[in-house]
Amino acid sequence: MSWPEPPDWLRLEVEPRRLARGGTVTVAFDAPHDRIAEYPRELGLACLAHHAGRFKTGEVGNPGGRFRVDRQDVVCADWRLLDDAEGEFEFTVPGEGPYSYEGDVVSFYWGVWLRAEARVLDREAYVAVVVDP
Amino acid sequence: MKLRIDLEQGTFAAGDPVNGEVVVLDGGRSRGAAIELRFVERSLPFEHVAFATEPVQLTDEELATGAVLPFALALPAEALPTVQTEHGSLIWELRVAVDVPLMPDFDERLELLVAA
Repeated sequence: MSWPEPPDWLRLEVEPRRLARGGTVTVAFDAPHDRIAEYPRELGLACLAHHAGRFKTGEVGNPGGRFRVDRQDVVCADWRLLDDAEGEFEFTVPGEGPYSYEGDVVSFYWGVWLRAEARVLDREAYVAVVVDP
Repeated sequence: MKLRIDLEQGTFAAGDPVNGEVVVLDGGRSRGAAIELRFVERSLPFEHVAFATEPVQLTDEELATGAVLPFALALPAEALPTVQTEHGSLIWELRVAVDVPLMPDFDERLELLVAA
């Protein structure tokens, strides 16, 4: 899986990059004031599920045919408003939530994301975090 | 054909024994039955068996109503815990497969709750 690079104006430090469920991740950020003031953004620790879904199509040559289509959905996330140019957030990984897993029909990926406020799928930045069982 | 899988315990951890019995509630023509533990990725309507233990033969005989077939298996030492989410699950299950002559195999499954 490939992920977008963090924008060059944002510095993110994520510690630790690998932890067990129930552990805490500290995310330090540093960004120019004008970028933060441009429009509201949120920083979050989120788990994305990549999973197989079923899609029914009636396209020419395959009327009523079914194809496997992989989808991405946020399984759990903790978002914080990024309202300062620099600072630090602490995120706790749920003790009973998903752990990092890469499979055939289900995968769970953890990471630190930046998004436009309240737009779940508008991911702008990513730092991978590995969550062990 | 109707089977019921009874377990000695309800929650498991990696490496735990998985002991119990298969009760034949409604028997029928068969050439035997085997049981295995499987780690299954599930994203409805798809599923993928990521790992399965070697099947253990429960019997080579026809399944008679009322028969009780004990089994003793074990979760692998590195077994991952159960995860269930709205968008996909990782689960352990017991699967009993009955070899039915000239018919597709019959199977009975039971999900296990495996904690970290």
